[in-house]
Amino acid sequence: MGLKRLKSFLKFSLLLSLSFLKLNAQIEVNFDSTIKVIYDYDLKKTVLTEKNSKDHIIFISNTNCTGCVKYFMKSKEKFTFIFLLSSESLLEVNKITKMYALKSNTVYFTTSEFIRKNIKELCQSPTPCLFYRCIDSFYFLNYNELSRVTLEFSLNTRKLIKQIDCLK
Amino acid sequence: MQKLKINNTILVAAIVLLPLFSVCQNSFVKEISNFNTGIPADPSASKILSFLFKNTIYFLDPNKYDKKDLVINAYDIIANKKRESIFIENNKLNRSLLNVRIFSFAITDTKVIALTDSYIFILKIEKNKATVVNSIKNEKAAYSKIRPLNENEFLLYVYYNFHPLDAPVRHVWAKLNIEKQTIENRTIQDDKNAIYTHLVNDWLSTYKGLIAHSNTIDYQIYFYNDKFEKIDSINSDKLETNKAHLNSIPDNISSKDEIMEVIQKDDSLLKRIQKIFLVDSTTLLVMLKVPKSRNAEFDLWQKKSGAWVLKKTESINTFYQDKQAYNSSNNKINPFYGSMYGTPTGSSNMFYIIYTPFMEDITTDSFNLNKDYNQKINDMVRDNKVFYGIKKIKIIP
Repeated sequence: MGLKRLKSFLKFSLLLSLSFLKLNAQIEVNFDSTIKVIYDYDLKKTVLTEKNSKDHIIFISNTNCTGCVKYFMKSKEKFTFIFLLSSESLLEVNKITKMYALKSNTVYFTTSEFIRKNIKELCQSPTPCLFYRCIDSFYFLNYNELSRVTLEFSLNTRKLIKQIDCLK
Repeated sequence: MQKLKINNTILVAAIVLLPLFSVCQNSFVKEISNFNTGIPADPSASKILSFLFKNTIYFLDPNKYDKKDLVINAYDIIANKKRESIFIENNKLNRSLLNVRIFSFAITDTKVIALTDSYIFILKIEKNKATVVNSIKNEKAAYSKIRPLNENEFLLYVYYNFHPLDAPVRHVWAKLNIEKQTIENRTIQDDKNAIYTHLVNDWLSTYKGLIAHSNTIDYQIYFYNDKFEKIDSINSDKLETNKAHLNSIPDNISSKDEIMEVIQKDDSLLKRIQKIFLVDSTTLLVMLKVPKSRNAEFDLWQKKSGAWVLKKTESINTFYQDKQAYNSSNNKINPFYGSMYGTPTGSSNMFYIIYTPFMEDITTDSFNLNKDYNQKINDMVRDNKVFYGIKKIKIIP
């Protein structure tokens, strides 16, 4: 009985804290119209589906923040990465691939122009950000919120995932 | 060493924006030639390591720290042909160098000097093979640039907004005496522009023992002799407008949030000095970034009767313009940004730009970024035909 009460209390506390997170950080987005067509390592077009992404927890970055990319890259939790290119350039793909020693098959690329057109209201100039699914909707954390929620990219990513999962 | 390095500054500068600038026919910066060295360049490298010594430009692959032999390729810019390469073999003596990233390097008749995070390696060249003969501990704030001063001396330089726990000082100069193999004249310099070191910059230029160093927010350029004594300066009120914005920009940053804030405000508000080029001892080219624009502004200064005089100013597009027609007459595209290395030739008003990937002039009636530019470069990458290019530039005062 005591354990149940403790669980209820913890769940309530988490929901309370996440409702705060939601109020301050979450922006609901139409994911399909935002990021759907992306490129693989050879700049061939592909479509992001549930099969080729990890739980739709997607970290998007240009290389403005090496520390942010490494934070998600080193995590034991698997993220889908979408790197922003300024144009459809294999040179950029090569440099990003080398810089982060990318091997994962859940790494994709898209252009900043595409992002600007589609999520202009979310981030004026493309900065690292996170998309994730919560129940049946997609939410978006911009750089500032992501930085705050992850305690400047120091919070254990498992805790971050738990926070997000808790809303499901 | 943990650095708050924003690699984006390199990447954006080197490839993304590919900030080349076109020079119209009446421009004072004129491209004389653009040629392919035939020396392969690593398409994944975000930096060019090159060094000019006695009419030969040496290239070192910055990503070559994979325990294989290291090759320093050489190109004779007068004879216009490749010269014999210098090999650093993977053996016991060289192994400590081959396992680390090289920041910068220099060459003499008999030696190679390589700057790395922990050590400054000195190698002896014999029959086109170089072998490590000495290593000097690099500073905690590791010297990352090396520039020639005179026959036996090189300027060692570091200017970076290190985390205070990583390094106690941020802007240091010293001299490497290659004969004695010692570091001398260590001098801590003013670091008031340190936050802008996260962005593309080259505020140091040397020419035969003369050193020019610029501030970035204020239009102040100082000249030093090879003993680091201040001997001359250029001051202008051209950047006074920056003062109105400085209150909104942090003057000391330590978090990623603050770096992002500086980048965004720099993009939108500030006009400041990004690079300087000492073309010779009396000619200085100053490149300024302009807010909310891809254009760059260039100032040409010349020293006449003992005083520096601003001869010309020009605003130049930094990249091909969409739908614009290009042919051989207006196609003088010069990569003056990140992936280039400007170096004086020794002859008056001339210098070289080293860039990658080499690209022939574009001919089109209506420029399209993907068709006329990206696809060509993507084909080069897929076909393993990415080479270093060299442009010879003349300043016409």
